Amino acid sequence: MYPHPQLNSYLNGLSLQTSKIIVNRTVYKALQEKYTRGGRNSEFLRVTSIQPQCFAPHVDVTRAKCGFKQFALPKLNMELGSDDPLIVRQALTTLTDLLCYPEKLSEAIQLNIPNSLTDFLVSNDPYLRERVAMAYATIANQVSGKEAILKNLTTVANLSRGLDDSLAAVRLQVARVLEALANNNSAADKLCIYGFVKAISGKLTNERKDILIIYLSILELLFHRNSKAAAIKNGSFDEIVALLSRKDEILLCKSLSCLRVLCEDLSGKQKALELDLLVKLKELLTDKREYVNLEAARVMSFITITSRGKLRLLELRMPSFLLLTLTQKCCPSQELILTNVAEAPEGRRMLLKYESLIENIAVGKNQVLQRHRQTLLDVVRWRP
Amino acid sequence: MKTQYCPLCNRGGLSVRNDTVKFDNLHSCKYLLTPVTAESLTNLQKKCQTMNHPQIFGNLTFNQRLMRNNIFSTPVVMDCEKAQVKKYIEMKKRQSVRKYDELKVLNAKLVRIGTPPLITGRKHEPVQTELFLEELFEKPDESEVALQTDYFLNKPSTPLYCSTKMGQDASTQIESGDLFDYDVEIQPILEVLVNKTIEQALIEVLEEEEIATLREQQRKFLELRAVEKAEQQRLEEQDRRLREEKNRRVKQYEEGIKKQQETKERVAAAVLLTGYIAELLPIVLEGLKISGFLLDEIKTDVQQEFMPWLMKELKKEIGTMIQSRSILEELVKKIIKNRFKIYTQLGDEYDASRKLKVKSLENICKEEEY
Repeated sequence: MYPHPQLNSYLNGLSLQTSKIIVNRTVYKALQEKYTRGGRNSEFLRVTSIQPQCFAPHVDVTRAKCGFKQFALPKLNMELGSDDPLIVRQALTTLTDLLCYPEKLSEAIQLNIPNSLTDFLVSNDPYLRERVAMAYATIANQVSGKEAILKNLTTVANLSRGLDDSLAAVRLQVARVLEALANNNSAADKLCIYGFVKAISGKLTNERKDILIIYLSILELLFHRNSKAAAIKNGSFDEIVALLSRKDEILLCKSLSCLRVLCEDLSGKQKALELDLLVKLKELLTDKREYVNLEAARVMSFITITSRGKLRLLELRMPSFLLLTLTQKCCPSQELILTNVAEAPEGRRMLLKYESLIENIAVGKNQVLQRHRQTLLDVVRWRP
Repeated sequence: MKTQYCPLCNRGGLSVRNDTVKFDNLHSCKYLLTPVTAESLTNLQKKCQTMNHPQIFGNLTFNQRLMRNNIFSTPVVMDCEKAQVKKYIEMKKRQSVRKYDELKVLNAKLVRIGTPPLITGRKHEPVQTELFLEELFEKPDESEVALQTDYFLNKPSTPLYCSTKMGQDASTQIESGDLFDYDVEIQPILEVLVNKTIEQALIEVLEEEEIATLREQQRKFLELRAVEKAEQQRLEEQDRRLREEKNRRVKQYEEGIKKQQETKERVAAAVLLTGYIAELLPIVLEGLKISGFLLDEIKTDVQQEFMPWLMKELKKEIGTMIQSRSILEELVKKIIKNRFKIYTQLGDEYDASRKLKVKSLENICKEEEY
C-alpha cells in the first residue's frame, strides 16, 4: 500500500524549506482534530485533504497498514472517522484482529473504541456491519467488554436492530454477540430488561437454522434469569412449540431445552397443558434419535408434576411405553415421569401390577438412577 | 548536637550558629574553616587573642591533628615483620583458592546428580526439553485440512496520480549472491516460523479440547440439575397437595362437629318445648287474646264484613243526601221565581199608584193655583 493517503507528499513538495516531518505531523494533527472533535477551525482543516492510494498486487487491502504497538489503536480509532470507506474498512478489520488480545481489548475500552464502533452497526455498508458485529462478538467475550457494550444504550439499540438485518451474516454475528453477553448473569439480566427475550422470540419463525440455534441458546440462558412468566405472556412459548415440527436434531434439542426451562414455572406447565404438548412430546419420545428422546422426557417430567398432566398422560396410555423403554435403557427423567404418574391413584394401580418389572430396572452403579428407582417404588407401594 | 573543637585552644564546645561555637559557657570564638598547621599556630594564637579569647592553653600533644614525632622521619618496618606479613598474605590466598575449588566441586555435584538407574523393561529415550520445539527432521504424521478463508475485497482501480518522492536517490550495483543466499538464510527463519506455528496450533487444540471437556461437564451438570429440579418440584407439589388435603379435612371435621352440636341443642330444645311449654301456650294465647294483642280475628271480621257494610251504608246515605239536596234546590228555585213574579207585579202596581197619586196631587195644586 503505497503511498499512504495521509503522507501528503504533494504538500511536502510545495516548499523545500519546510521539513516534511513537520508537514506530516501537522496533517496528522488536523486529521485528529477533524475526526475526533468535529473540526471547527476550517483553515487548519485545509491540510487534511488526502491523496489516492496505489496498491501492489500482493497487498491485503482489507487490513490497515500500521496496526501494531501502542500507536495502533489510537490511530485505528482515528481512521474509523475517515471519509474514505476503504480506510474505514481497513481500520475496522485490523481492529477486529487486534481485539482478540485481552490487553488490546482493555486498551480499546480505555480509548472508548466500543462506543466509536456503535454507528457502524447500522451502516449502509454490509461489510462494515458484519465486521463490526464480529468485533463486538470478540469484545463481548471479555467481562469488561460486556460492561462496555451494555453501558451504551445506543449500542444495545443497534444490536437489537441488527437482529432484523437483511444480511444473514450480520444477523449471525449479532446473535453471537448476544450469546456471549447472555453467558454472563448480570449481562443476561440487563438483556432481559432491555426486552431481548421478546425481540428474539419474534424472530424464531423465519430464520436460518444456524442462527436459530444460537437464538435458542440465548433464550435458554435468558429464561434462567427469572423471565419465564414474562416470556410466556409474550408468546415465546407458542413460538418455540411451533419449532417442534422441524426435523433437525440440534434444533429440536434446543427447542425442547427452552421448553423445559419454561416448564419449570407453573405458568409454563399450564401453557403446555393448554397447547396439549404431551401429544407432541409422545411423538418425540418415540423418535429414533437419543438426544431428542432425552430432552422430550425432561420436558414431560416437568409437565406431569401437575395433576392435569398426570391424567392427560394416563389418557395417552404412556406409562406402559415408558416402562418398556426404562427396561431397555434407564433414564432418570423417565423414572421421574413414572413417579409423577404413580402419584395418581389410577396410575399407581396400573404400575403396581408391574412392581417386579420396576424392581428389575437395570440402573448399574449409578447412584442417581438408584435413588430415583427407589423413589418410584416407594410411591408405587404407598397406601393411603 | 555535634561537638566541635576550638582550632586554637583545642577545647570542646557546642555550635551555636553556623560559624560560631560556644566553649564551656566561658568564651566563644569564630570557627575557622581554614586548615591549621603547626607553623601558623602562633599567628592564630595571636588572632585568637585579638578576638578576645581569654586564655590559651596551647598543649599541642593533645591535638589529634598533629603528629607527635619528628616530621622528617617515616615509620620503619622491620625485616622480620615483612616476612611475616608476606607469609600471612600467601596463606590467605591459598585458603581462598581452596575454598573456591571445594565450592565448585560441591556445586557440580548438586547440579548434576545423574540419571537414575534403569528400571527393568524400560529404556532411555532422548526428549526435547528446550523452551521452543525444533524440527527433528523426521517426517511426522501429516493430515490435510482445508479451510475457507474470508473473502477479499476487489482490488480498487489504480489511480493515475502518484505522489512525489521523499528523500534523495542513490544507486549501487548488487551482484547475485552479494547480499545473501536466500535458501540458506531463510532456513532458520522458516524453522522458527514452522515451530511457532506448530506450537501455537498445539496450544489451540489443547484449549479447544479443554473447552469441549468443560462444556460436556457443564451439560452433564445441567442434566442432573434439571432432574433434581423436577424432583424438587414434585415433592413441593406433593407437599402442597397433602397440606391442602389436611386443611380440607380439618375444616370438614370442624364443620361436622359444629353441626352435631347444633342438632343436639335443637333436640334438647324440642324435648323441652313438648314437655314444658306445651301447657303454657294455650294460657298465654288466651291471655293475649284477652289483652287484645292477638287481633287477627277482629281484624278479619272488620275487613271482610264490617267494612263492606259500612261502605254500602255510607253510599246509601250520601245518595239520599244528594237527592234531597237537589229536590230542595228545585223547590227553592221555584219559590224564588214565584216570589220574583209577585214582587215585580206588586212593584209595578205600587209605581202606578204612586204616579197616580203624584198626578192627583199635581192636579190638586194646579187647581188651587187657579
